[in-house]
Amino acid sequence: MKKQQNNKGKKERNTFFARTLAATAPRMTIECAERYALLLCGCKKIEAYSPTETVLATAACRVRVRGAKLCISFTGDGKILLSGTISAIEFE
Amino acid sequence: MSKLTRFLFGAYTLTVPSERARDVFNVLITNNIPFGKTKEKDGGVSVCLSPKGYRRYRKICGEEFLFGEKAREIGAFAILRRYRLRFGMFAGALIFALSVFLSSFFVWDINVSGNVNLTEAEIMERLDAYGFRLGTFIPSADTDEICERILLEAGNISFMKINMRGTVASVEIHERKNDAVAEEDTSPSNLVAKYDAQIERFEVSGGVPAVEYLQAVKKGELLVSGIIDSNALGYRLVRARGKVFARVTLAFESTIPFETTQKTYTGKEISEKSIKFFSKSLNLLKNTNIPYEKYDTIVNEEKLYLFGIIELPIFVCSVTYKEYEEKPYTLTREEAYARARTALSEQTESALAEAEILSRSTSLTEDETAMHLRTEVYCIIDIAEEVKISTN
Repeated sequence: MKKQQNNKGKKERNTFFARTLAATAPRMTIECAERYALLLCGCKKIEAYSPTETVLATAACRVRVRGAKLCISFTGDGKILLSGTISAIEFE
Repeated sequence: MSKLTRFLFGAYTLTVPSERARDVFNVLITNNIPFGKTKEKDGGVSVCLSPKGYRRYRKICGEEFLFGEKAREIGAFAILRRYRLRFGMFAGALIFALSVFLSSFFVWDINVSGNVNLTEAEIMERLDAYGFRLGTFIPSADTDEICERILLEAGNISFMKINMRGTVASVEIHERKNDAVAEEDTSPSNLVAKYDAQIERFEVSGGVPAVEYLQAVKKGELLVSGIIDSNALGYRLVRARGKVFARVTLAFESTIPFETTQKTYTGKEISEKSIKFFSKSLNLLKNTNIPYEKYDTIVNEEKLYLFGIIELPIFVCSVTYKEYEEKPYTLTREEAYARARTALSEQTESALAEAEILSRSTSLTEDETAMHLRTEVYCIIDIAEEVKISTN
């Protein structure tokens, strides 16, 4: 019982810590211009690319973007601009 | 990287197979080399790099590319380097640039506005006499002086101005009104009768009438005198003005011979074409002698347009020489009569334009050689004719 309570507390402290850190110094940010452009800052690598689906790996998580006619531009310093018609953004 | 920037400063496109695109992107991202919009092309993906980025990427790859990429340089310098041995192209581009620059120093078009009685052709002829025409070198043309000279020479223009808008000359004209010109003539004159007639009425605005109502006058008889005799001032000479209407019988006759010649075209013709650039002509064919004895010359000038709307100072002139021959021809009675009527109409139309026709009789006679058509018109017409009084 005590062990379960300790595990639950540890989980709650980790989530709290992650959220606080994300709010003060985010490792990844996303900006969207309607559904036609997406600017992602903090990209480490591209895990998959096709005109219909792109998976970007960041320090915080993986981001899967689905859409049509997706084009990638890299402006340096981890900033990726995805343009096209975006239908879905998933965080993994 | 915008298209203009890529064209002006140059860029490189890397085309990589679709399955290896991810690897290329990761190398570029890891080494912080920016790249432009990716494009799907012929089963692969192409990406655009700046020249600096491309050099860094080559350094990373070494002698050969790592993932089967194909590189291509784009931009203005790439095009120049590709065609550097084509001197004709550069010479042509230079000639084009020079032509465009130099053409702005010549008159391409002349627009005339404000003319009512004067035709555009008459005004262009006057300007041409002073050296102002299509193709005139603009810096050498003193438009103010040309306008002043034309105004002094022409009595029927009261204002003239040439405005240059780029290569188009706008000529603005104000014409002098007719009555102002007529009133300038005050030299003494009499009015005499043009025909034998009987006076019906008169409208005199200058001089002294010398005839009375219903008086019969002979041709040349004095109708209105320009000599005024007064007790106070003595004799003085004035210009007799007015209209004297009288009843007169005028006869008009036309004679049409039956034997005439008819012009028929043989079907043979020669054409010559030339190009007129500004005012200079350039013959396209060698000058040939015209082998025909009798021929008509038809000149046609067609202006060229760019895209159908932009006027160019270039004309295609074609001159056609059509041979004809004159064959003797005998008119039929109907044809002769028709021609006689036409000739008579032309005579009466101008002479009786302001006449009040009271009666008309027409008679037709013919002999072996010709048809004669005569018409007598009894009418009331202005018979006054001005005759100057000599004061020498």
